[in-house]
Amino acid sequence: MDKNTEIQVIQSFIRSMCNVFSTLTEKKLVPRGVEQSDTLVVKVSGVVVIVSFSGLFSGRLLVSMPKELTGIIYKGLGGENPSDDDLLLAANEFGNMVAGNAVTEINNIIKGANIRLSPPSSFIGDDLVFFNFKMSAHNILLDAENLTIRLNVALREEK
Amino acid sequence: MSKKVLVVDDSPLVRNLIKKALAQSSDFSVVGEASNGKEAVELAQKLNPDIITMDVTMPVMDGLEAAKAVLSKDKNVKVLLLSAMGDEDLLSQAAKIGIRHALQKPFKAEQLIDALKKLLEE
Repeated sequence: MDKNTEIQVIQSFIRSMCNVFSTLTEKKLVPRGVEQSDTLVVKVSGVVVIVSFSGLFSGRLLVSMPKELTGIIYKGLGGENPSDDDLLLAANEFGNMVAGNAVTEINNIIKGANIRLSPPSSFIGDDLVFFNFKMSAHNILLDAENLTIRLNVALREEK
Repeated sequence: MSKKVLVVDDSPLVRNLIKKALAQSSDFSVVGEASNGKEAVELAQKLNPDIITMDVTMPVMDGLEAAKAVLSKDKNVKVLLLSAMGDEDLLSQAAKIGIRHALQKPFKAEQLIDALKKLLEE
């Protein structure tokens, strides 16, 4: 994948995160910057949602956020007093919307991309470790309400 | 008289969100909800809704299949497609089965109500 396309794809995910978050919560999410990950391993704590996608290129979106921020998203989805199971539901829905919005933009601007999503998977825990197998990844930190969301986008070109 | 709405989405959170949004308008009342396309087809026959809000990606039967089945039995029911995806390919698949209205998730309550009102004007 050429560098310009990679940047376009990453920016679509960032824009989508910010738009989906603010539509649901009416709060602003501010990205700090993009850094290429130099390790194959992603270590996170809190609530995590993973959405895979494939088409012209494949990859996966990983969003990790503190329980408190996930609770704000859950409230934005119309719920109150969430249990851990409710937070997982909210994370699933959030991940689906972020990925869906990003992939819609990507499919509309990159001819022939034809990217399709897999259903999301969500996790809760401390010191969770995920492995990027044969994919290059980018880390983006985004801030809201003095809390931080971590977005990790891994991509691989399909031959 | 308020229009009868059947809410179809595999996420209980989204179904709740839609019900809360429609509760803000006296033009619509939710008469049932389904968590997959098969349930949607069965409930549509039973409840005769005026409008169906239909998610696309669902287990058992997806929203496009369900909409096709419902519209084959009742051409008067209006379907609003709701999806996190909104690319041209999906919209063209929807248009082939007679669905011309879609709203991308997430949406605010007023956006949903506006979309349903536009659907009814058709």
